[in-house]
Amino acid sequence: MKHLTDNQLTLLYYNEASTDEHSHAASCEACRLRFADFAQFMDAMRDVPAASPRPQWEKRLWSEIEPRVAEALMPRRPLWARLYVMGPALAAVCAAVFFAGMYTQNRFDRSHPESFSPKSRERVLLITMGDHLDRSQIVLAELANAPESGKTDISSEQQLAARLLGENRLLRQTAQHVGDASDAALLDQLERVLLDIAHSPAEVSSSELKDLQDRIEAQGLLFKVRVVSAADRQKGMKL
Amino acid sequence: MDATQGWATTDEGAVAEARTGNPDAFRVLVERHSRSVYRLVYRMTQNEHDAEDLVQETFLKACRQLHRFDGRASFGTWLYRIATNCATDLLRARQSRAQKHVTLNSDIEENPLEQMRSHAPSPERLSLSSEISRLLGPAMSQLSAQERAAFVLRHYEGCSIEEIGQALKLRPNAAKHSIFRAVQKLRRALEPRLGAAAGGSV
Repeated sequence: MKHLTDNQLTLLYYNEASTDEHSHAASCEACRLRFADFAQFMDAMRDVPAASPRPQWEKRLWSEIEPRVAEALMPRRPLWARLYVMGPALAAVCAAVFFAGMYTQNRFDRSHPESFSPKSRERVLLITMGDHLDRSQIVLAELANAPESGKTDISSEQQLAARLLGENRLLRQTAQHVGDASDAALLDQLERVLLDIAHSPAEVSSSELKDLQDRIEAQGLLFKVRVVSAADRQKGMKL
Repeated sequence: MDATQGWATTDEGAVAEARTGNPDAFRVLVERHSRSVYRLVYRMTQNEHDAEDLVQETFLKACRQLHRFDGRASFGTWLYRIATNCATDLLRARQSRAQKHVTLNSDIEENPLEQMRSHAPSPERLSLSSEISRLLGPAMSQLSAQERAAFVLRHYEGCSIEEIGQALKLRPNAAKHSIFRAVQKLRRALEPRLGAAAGGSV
């Protein structure tokens, strides 16, 4: 066997060398001497005393992080459950009223022209759209801000994206139908990203997560969704 | 907090209790691991204030990501992963900012005796380890963030190659080679100076 390389000396020092390397080191005078020097150097590095934090540091550390720890540890419902508890009831009612209105519009127009006036339909549409964008925004924001940590569980975002897809499709078609090109374009862009999220694996690797984040970021989608959502809600409330 | 609580005896128990929203359980984890995390990030950054900030950042991240901890690695290893990531980010940001600055290597090579004299606490002969403690910080700055993390975890924290791989998201072979490169660079940076110092002081 040839003399040990520096890397083999390193392995030997950390007790990770092979049996051959161990027996060579034991039998070869030159390698034994080299290893003795090497080990002395490594030991001396290890002897450098570890730094100690300042006195009372641990108490200070806890007092500084405690409020944020308590906040972060507050029990969280799954994302979709939180959404469906907060604003969902209103969304469901709005959507039901809106679609029922569309369905019955022709039947009632003649006999009750005041029941579903264009103004009230527009209002419901805007509120429904605003609500839909709000919920989409939460999915996008959760993913955009998800920390990289090996595998990331996005199953709750995925479930919500799948639920939002049908509604998104309907709203996009409505926007196209009424000739609202900008809303239709935004909903089209959103639909493709929601589709990607819904069809991603429940656990994504950091590179897959990065791809999703890049898509959300590159298209400025989150920003657009925020702006349109706020504008639609405001318009809807004014009507 | 009642220290006799059953959950407080193991990391797994404290993690499970913290997940229910009990900050005292997380406090147990902080008290149990903050010193080792401090040592790790201090070894990596060689700076007391950076180390304190990084420990804080590490525990806050750990707390926010606690629901993602799956128990495949030990809590300590998982925490080391977060800490090394935080420290690596800091070091990379520093290294890119410092690219225009003169490296330690050129400083020492230009005037090695001055370096040694200016730091010497007394004219007495210095021991090898005290020499190293003086030179180690600057020598470590020649290592990449990944090499530094791998070396500190192996040499000072006694982590196995597998644990280092988990902490740094590297294959075992890549983790091993990071350690090799770190050791080579440290020897190249330190041994000539140590030889000169030892020779001069004898």
